[in-house]
Amino acid sequence: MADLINEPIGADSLPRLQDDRFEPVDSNWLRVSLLGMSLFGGAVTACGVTAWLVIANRGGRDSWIPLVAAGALVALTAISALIRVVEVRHIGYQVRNHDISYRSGVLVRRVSTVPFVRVQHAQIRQGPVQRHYGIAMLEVNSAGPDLKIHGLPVDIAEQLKALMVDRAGDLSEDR
Amino acid sequence: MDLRTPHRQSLWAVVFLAFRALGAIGVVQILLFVGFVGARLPSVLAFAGLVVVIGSGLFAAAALQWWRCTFELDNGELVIRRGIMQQQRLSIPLSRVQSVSLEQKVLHRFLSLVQISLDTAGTETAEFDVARTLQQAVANQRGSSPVAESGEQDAETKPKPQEQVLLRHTPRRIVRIAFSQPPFAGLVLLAPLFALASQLGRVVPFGLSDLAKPTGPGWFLWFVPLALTAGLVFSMTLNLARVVLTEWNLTLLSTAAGLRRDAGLLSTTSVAAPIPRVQIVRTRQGLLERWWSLHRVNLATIGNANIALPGCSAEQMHMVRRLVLSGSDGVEVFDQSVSKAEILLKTRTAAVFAALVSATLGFVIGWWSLLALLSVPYVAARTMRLVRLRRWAITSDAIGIHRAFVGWQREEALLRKVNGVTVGQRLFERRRGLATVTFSTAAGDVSIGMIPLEQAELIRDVALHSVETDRRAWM
Repeated sequence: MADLINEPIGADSLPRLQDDRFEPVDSNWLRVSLLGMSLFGGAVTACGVTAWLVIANRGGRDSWIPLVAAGALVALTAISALIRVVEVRHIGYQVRNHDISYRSGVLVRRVSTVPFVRVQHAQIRQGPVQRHYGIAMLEVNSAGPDLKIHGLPVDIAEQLKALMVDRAGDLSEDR
Repeated sequence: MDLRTPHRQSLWAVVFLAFRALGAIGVVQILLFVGFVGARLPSVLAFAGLVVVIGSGLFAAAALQWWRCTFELDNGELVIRRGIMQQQRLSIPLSRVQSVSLEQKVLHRFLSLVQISLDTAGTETAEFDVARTLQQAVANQRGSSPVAESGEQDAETKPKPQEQVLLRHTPRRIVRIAFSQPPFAGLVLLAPLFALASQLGRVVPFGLSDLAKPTGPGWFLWFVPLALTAGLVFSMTLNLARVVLTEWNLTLLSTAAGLRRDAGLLSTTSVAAPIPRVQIVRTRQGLLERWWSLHRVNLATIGNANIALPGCSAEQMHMVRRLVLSGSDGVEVFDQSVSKAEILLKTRTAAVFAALVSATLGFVIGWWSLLALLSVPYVAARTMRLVRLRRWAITSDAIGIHRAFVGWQREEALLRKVNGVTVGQRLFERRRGLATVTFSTAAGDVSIGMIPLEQAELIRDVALHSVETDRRAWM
């Protein structure tokens, strides 16, 4: 094993993660998200209305409870949808020679970085709606944080997955 | 024992599997079911028959489970086959085993059995438990000394030639550990009994409830201190019993395979982990521990087998630290402070919460509800001290954070153990140009909050550079 050389490094010579080099995700992801939330909201509303009708027909005085509960869930879903609309402008990913970073969040903004040499495995997940829009989620697993990059075009997700697996293998062999 | 051919657990494992199935269903659920059904049965004989049927079913399922479970070593992999309806084949490369834990409870010792748990980095729970000694096979694979197969482990076991005793706590040290615990922590053991308090009160021979009734003007002056003192003595006795049972003869050994921690009086627990698997070193000293000059060291390892070492002297703590940090000095000087904005955040949150509570309670208890607002100056004073004493530092190969209030605690991690870095900004931090940076290892995170965003991004890049250029193994 070669001797370890550990020279001091100044801050100005460090490779810095550039905040303006993040790639945005596909805009179809917003459509997929909103569609999913709409379906959930619709299902909740239908359940609430059905329960209200059933209880009201039986003469129950608490028929308003399922309506209020459904209304609260729909309101929360609407707020989540608004947050998602704002969030999609902010999320992005950046691939460098040795690591991958993912930027996300609205109220709490995060930039998570996983070095390729710490990647355990990567996988692509694609639901039926995502498949229709040609996007997928790339999941990067490490022994530390896992990255879930939503809204990637399928071909880009495949390329990133292949890149990470190759780089992880190359960097492991170098050690 | 040739592990290259399939083996089964000891026949006595059927008993343990049956009890485990019982525990999985839930003792309370079973008692409720039995009580519900038993109240509707015509006779005691029918009830006994029901118990026999249920017990026979459990043992039959356990026997079938025992029959279908085999393990063997195949080309450096531990292969386990199990499952009744659905066959499962689990292959664990021995090189991926992060730590090995041996546990021998009272019944195990009586039957000369050992429960072994293997942890890998893939999951947070033990992969499997088998009531036979496999540590020898894993240890041999790693080239360490073999461990005796016999269930009879002498508490005064002399270390094998390749093993070195790093520390061994004397009985006096064990007692000090017990008395350095939080005074009322022992009462936690009695928590389940609070659910049965009313039933227990009926069987108590003397009128315990009568004691609690006020009798005379000075009752409050003598009853409360007496009750507190009695509770304190009782709790400390429970503490002592618990610590003696779990930490008796606590020994840390350095073996060819890494570190091994043995402890226990009736039930002996052995936890082993290679040194490179240690990801974070946590040291702490509470107020009572400072009184006894003791320190607590916790080595967070990959998997579920952290090595906890209470009651270490300062020299022992530094010795373990140096050993685990493997040639690195770690973080010796914590010279970076955090922003005082956290005081405003915590105080504001406490004020809002206290105002809500006070307003709500005002309808119930009137003006006395304003006492809830006293929590605000307490939170402010406490946060001021916490922020003033919090320090962190980063060196060329390690990151560390120091927290203190009355006692203190530290976390240190080598940078090459970092698996990912996250820089996060809550809304409060974003408005003030602050951030929280979290270094994630395979055994937990080290977080530094309320530092300037530029500083957070810089130490993130330092850590990433260290991970990406350091050729040494991280586990």
